[in-house]
Amino acid sequence: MSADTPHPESGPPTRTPERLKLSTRDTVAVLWPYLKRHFGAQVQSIWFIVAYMIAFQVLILRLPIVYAVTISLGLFTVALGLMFFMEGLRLGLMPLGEIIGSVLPRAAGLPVILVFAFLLGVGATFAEPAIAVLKAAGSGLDPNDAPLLYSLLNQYAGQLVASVGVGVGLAVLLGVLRFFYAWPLKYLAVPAVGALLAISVVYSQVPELNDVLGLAWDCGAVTTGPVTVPLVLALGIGVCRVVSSGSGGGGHSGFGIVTLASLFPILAVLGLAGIHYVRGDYVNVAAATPVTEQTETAATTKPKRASDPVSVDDYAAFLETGRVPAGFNLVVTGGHTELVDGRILVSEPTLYIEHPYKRPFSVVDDKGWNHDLSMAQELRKAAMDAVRAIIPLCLFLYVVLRLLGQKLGADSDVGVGILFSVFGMGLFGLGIALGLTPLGSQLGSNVPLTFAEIVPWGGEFSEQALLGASAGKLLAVVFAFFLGYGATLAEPALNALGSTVERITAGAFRKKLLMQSVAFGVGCGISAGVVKMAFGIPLIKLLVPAYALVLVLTVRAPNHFVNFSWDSAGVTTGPITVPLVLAMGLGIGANVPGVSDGFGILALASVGPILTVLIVGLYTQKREQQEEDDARDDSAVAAAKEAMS
Amino acid sequence: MFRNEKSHAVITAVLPDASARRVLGEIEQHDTATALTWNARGTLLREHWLSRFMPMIEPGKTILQMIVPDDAADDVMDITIRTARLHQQANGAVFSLPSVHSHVGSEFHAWPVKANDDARAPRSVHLRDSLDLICAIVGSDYSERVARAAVDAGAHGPVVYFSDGRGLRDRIGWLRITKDHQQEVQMVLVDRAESDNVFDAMARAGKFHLPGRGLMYAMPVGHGMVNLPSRVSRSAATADMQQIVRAIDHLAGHAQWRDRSHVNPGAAPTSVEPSVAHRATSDRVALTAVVKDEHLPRMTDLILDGGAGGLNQVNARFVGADDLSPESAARIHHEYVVLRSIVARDVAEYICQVVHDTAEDLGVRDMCLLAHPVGRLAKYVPGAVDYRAAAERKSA
Repeated sequence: MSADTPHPESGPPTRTPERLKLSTRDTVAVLWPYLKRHFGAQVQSIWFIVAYMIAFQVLILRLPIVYAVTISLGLFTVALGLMFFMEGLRLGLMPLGEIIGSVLPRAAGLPVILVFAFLLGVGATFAEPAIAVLKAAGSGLDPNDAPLLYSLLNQYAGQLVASVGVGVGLAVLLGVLRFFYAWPLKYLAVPAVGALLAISVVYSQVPELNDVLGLAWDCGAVTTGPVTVPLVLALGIGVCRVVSSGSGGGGHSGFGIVTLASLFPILAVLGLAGIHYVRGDYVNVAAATPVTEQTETAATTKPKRASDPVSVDDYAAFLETGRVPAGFNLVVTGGHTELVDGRILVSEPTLYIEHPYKRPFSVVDDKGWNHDLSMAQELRKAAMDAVRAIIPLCLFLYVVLRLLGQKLGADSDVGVGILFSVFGMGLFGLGIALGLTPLGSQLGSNVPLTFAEIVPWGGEFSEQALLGASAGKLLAVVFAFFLGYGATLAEPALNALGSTVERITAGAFRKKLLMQSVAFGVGCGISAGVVKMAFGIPLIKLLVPAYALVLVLTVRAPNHFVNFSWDSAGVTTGPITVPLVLAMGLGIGANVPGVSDGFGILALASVGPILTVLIVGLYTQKREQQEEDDARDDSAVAAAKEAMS
Repeated sequence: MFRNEKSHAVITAVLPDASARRVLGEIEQHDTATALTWNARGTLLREHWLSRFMPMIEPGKTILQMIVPDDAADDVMDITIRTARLHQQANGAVFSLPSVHSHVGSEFHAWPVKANDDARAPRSVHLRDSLDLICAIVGSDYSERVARAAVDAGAHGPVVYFSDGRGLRDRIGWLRITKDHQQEVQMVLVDRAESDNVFDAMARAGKFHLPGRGLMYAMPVGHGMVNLPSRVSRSAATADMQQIVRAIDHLAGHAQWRDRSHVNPGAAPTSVEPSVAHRATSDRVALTAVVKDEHLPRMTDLILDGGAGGLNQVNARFVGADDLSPESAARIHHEYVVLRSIVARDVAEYICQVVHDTAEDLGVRDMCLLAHPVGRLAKYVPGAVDYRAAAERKSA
């Protein structure tokens, strides 16, 4: 498949003395195991979430999969795209970041490095703007309910992106500076989180500002995308390859930038909201634009219930017996109702007897292919997104590299890698649009079926709730856990972080351990988010205790765990998790009175992994301490023996 | 340009991260002294089914490598042992590898040659001089199997670091992206009496006679001290084999019993006493080149063209005293690459000559080339079926 990928051979290889000529057969023999291995690895990372979603929809909700053919094609494309993208990261983006990181400290002074770091952070934000995601989360928003939030997302969207960009830029700057002075991440993260919590508590007292909290905290989670994270991570590792500070107490160096990059944007957005609140130039109720028609119509039309026509035979049977046959419903409408002698008297009603519709169970819906979908358009969009996210940043890095007087060697794979990552990200985006989003959004909007009567996604008639309100909500919470767990395992940025951690620690900290603990944490976080939505708990009441616990654990945990766990919080919410979680959040929000937006789930989803990884860290530290004590006892015994003999 | 009048040894220390920092700090006190460092890990075997799902975090280690003239070797070892408290349990290991050839560039930051060594400080610790170093280069799929075999055969848990392979796959154009990265190098230090046992067990477990499985070699160690733990996450076994062996050593007061227990009925009892020169009669040597990052492609090509079958590449950083950054308290290091290849002795001599000449032509003075004797080798030999045929037994 990649045999037709163009490869950049810039001129003949000058240094390599002889290049082996391979026949087509040999080429295939070399490529086949490679493709098989990497495609297999991606299938392994996405199979759980896909199988889980299909099983939940078909077996528990008992709804058919709509657009099954489109979705299958999309999922295949996702795996293919991920394969190329991950290889592109490994061969192109990450080496490029590492080379620059390791060249900069020698070739340039500290001020130049800091300017570069700031520009990289800002550039990364503009390359992967998360504003579309945030707009989606606020799509059901009513400007009358949350005027400040509404105008931040619409009128001031540009300022929002800019403030997030400045936040990320400052974060990368501080993150790099940290390596030079060996500040432990604790010293930066703890005050930052403390400030954030304090501001959040203050904001929660003001209704307009309270609405913004969810958006602000989500900004932190969303800004760090699949291109930004590996690039910034590689930069940090590159810097730490050559820089070490005297005390060396910073723990496993190279990590930590991603953390700051997910904290500072929150601060920036909170600041922006504060400024607009003080100036009072947001949409106020009087000047509010008319509410979008969409929400109105959705609110007024009540979904109809389907019914089977009553057959002539049934009608005959009814005439004969005069009784409502089993399985039929008696509906009373109209008439005049009053309470007489302790009984309800309905005079002159209209009575219907109808046969409730039993939808035949099927795994796959009749609608196999989504005809509304324009392939060409999706393809163009995905390709544009991929090019925009990768090419300008890489060009910037390449120009910086050349300015520093460095060249990429002729035998460097960076060119191939960048091509791979653009190609892979394009395919990945297309696959998400074709497969993962339709699957996720139909399941996400069907999940409230567990506790509410709704019209299933792509269906025409409403369905009965599966369970009662409490039990159903509980089922939705459990569902959310595994959705978060599975989606996180498939997240490319987390995969990249895991491999990097494994490589840097020479395998001491396994990728699998990191992935599993992060996925578990995200699952818990998303469950908490669903609890928040389903039971209408204010975000602040969940966020403050969670982060307070994180702060306590952070202070106690060993330094390198602090780095890993905070970094993994930044990478968890990527292109796979976000659409799935948002679809579910909006679906649940629409069926719970008083909840209008899907904000806050992502913020909770990024606290979860910090907690779990820190707990794993504290646990192993305790064990190591124990074993060290044992070893010390052993040597004491040995010394005693020696003294005796 | 190359100083090869003095023979150099490589002193390698495997230390936990914290004491590695202490040792580096101590080393920097010596004026031109430097060390190459890279990250490694210890091994923790997973026995319990639960811990297979949730892998344990293995202890992080740092490897320090110092290239020193033979007569300074003892001093460096002494500094390391004292600073890192290596004589205590589970604190690490240090050992020296003598070299048969050494070409050290004039700008390479090797340790200075000592002017006079008559005033030798009395050694407070006793070094073992009957050690063998076994290195196995394996893909990460098979690494745990090999590590388990080593521990079961009585060695400590292998010290592992990652390396890149260089060789054939670099010559196939853009298809070189198919190269499997991150090969693990597993390093075990064992007593010479047990060396063959451990070597065989590891070679069998890793199936090194099959193509594409990597290779394995043993090298005689000059002298050294091993206090590496091998932790097994098994509550039933509170002591591992190495600890038990050590305890019996301690009770018996000598290590002779191990030699007798070695199943080798026909042969005359071999001495536990070392005979490095005797063992080093193999016609293979381990060629080690330490080059700067920017000279890497050139040198790789030279060594591969000179007849080396493949190269094993480890990125290291050079910690020296003169790297202080002007703006901050941070140190800015140079990056070096350690290349290693197992080649026949005459090939090694040829490569040394070629590299030497080319380096002089290009004016590359900041590199060094060392060759260490190799005792045994296990690798895939086309046509051979069993690893035993491929392994070269040159012992006694």
